[in-house]
Amino acid sequence: MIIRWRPSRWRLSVKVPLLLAILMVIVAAGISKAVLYRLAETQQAHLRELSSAYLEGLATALQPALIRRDPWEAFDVLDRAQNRYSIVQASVALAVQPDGKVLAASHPRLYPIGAEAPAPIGAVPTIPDLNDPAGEVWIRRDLHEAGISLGSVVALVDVTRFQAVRRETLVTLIGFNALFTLLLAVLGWLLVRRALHPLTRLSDLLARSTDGRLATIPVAELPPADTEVGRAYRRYNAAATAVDEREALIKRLAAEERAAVMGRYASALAHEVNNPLGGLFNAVRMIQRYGNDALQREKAVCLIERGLTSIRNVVKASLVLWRSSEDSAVNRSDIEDLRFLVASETERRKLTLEWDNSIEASVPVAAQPVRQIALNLLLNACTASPVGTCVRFRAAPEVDALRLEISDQGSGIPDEPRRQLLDGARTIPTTSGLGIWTVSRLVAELRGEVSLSTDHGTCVTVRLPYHGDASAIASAA
Amino acid sequence: MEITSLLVAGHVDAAWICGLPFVQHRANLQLLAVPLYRGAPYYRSFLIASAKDEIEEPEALRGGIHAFSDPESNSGHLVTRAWLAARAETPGSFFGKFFFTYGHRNVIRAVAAGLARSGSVDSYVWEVMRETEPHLIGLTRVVWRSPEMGFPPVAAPRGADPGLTRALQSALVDMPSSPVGRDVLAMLRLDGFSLEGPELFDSIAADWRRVGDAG
Repeated sequence: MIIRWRPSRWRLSVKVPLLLAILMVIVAAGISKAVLYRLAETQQAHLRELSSAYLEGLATALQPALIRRDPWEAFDVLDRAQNRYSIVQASVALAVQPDGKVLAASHPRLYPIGAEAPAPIGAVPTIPDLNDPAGEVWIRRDLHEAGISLGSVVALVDVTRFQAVRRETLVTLIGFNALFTLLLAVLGWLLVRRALHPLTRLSDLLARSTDGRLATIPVAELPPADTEVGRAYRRYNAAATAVDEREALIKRLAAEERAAVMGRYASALAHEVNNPLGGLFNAVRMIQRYGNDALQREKAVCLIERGLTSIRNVVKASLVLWRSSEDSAVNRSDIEDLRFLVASETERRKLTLEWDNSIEASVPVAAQPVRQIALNLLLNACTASPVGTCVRFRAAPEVDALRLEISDQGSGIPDEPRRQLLDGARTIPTTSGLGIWTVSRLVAELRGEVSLSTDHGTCVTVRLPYHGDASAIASAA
Repeated sequence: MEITSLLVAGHVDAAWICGLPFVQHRANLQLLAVPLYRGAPYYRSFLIASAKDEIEEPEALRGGIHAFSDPESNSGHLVTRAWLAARAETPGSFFGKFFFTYGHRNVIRAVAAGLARSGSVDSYVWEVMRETEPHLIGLTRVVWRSPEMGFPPVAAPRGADPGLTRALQSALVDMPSSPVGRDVLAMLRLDGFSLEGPELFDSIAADWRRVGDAG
């Protein structure tokens, strides 16, 4: 697993153990410091007691020698004391006269008789420093008799064993704490993983949802209802069921919308056919009445031809609209046909239709949904336009998408249809807004986008990306 | 010194004393027997130094720290002082510093440890310790050997009971003939005891006088 340096994005199963480990390290550092401090104090006291006993014993034995300035007697005491006080581990001991000269040393070759004491007597600390880097410290005991200084007993004590004990303690603490921290981190990881398992499972189920449907958790796998996880799983199942019902409702509404659109188309078709039919009947009557008049008959035949042509165009447009090849690329005539389907509406409301279809051959966008989107928006624009105004339609292929623009000079689009249009795919449609909702849903299916401007009327812009390759686009342009 | 005082005062019947106190109190003491070391009633005084000290002549010890055994010791004090007196020197003028250790073994310890550069020691003690404590003796070496002198004798107060003194003399001289006596002699690394005349200690007496004359 790669952990990027963005802690807020890290998984909880990483963050919690890491936090535990950091806390443990801080606590361990504090405890270790306290332990080492206490250990150092204990060692200091121990060394002080040992040194005191050692120096006291030496001082008592050395006092006569110091009084008599007898180097042999002093040496004899110091030499014999080396083995008797081995626990102190004095590497060298000295009997020093008041003038700072050595009376005798346990190691006379290092400190001969009469030599200067190794360090100024006053500078030798009474409390030894256990942290001495050399691992040796000087200890001292001054001898007095009736207020007269007799000299001092000075010894160099090896403290490396104290330092070694502290080092070992430190290493033990570090080792134990590291192990404990690791254990805690692993335990934390396992606990968090276990605690987050329900959340992970719900997340996985949500991620696996297809077509807006959510799979429910089998009843056999549901924990008891009085547990948090049990409640969460049941709520999820309830939500999944509700989503399924919603999807079913949407599908039903879509079917109803199709039926409604069919009705509208049927009505429009009837209207379109009815207009030329009136002319045709007139022509028939003209032929019946003035059939012998070649001029009148010719006029009637022209009328019949125009009427039949008009009916053929309407029928042709309807056939194309309902063909099932949804994946075919939309071509110029697919868009051009729409003019016939809205002609009755524009004529009825005395609207001017400004038509700009820039598609020359075809563009790689499914024809059926494009036509349905354009027709729905055109019919809505006609409905929203005041009598005698202008409705504009523009179909323009761009580099990577087909752009449709439908504008009217109406009073604008109300809030509810506006929401339906811009975000309709995620909402439940109202019966009155089925056309708008269908547009929104089809645009979503084609991964397109809708934008809206309401400057001097309403202008709906739909951008539908190409599903083919660039060559198709180039050929379309 | 304490033993010598007790002996001279007649509080003890006999004692093994050094040759010097015998000479000093010759008028009040009688010679009972003299130990035989390596078959003869003689021993020497050694001037010793550290085994690492590469000096050849005792003159080279000048200015160093010297360890004597005992002020009442012949081999551990008097012989060295007489040797110095013959050169118109005293311990104070010849040595940088000197001290008494009150024991021949202590002299050897002081020299071996480096507390003193040199020491005056009984040849008998040094030789015996070469067997018993070779590691200690191995740290020292003999720089100068004195001429042979009378071995420290067993003496009795001059007014002692003659019967007792004779009995002591025969017990000492007969030691090699009894198992206990042989054990004691073996422990002391001695061959036996012999009856000698006081002239055996004339050289010690001469040294004593010389030192006394030198002050």
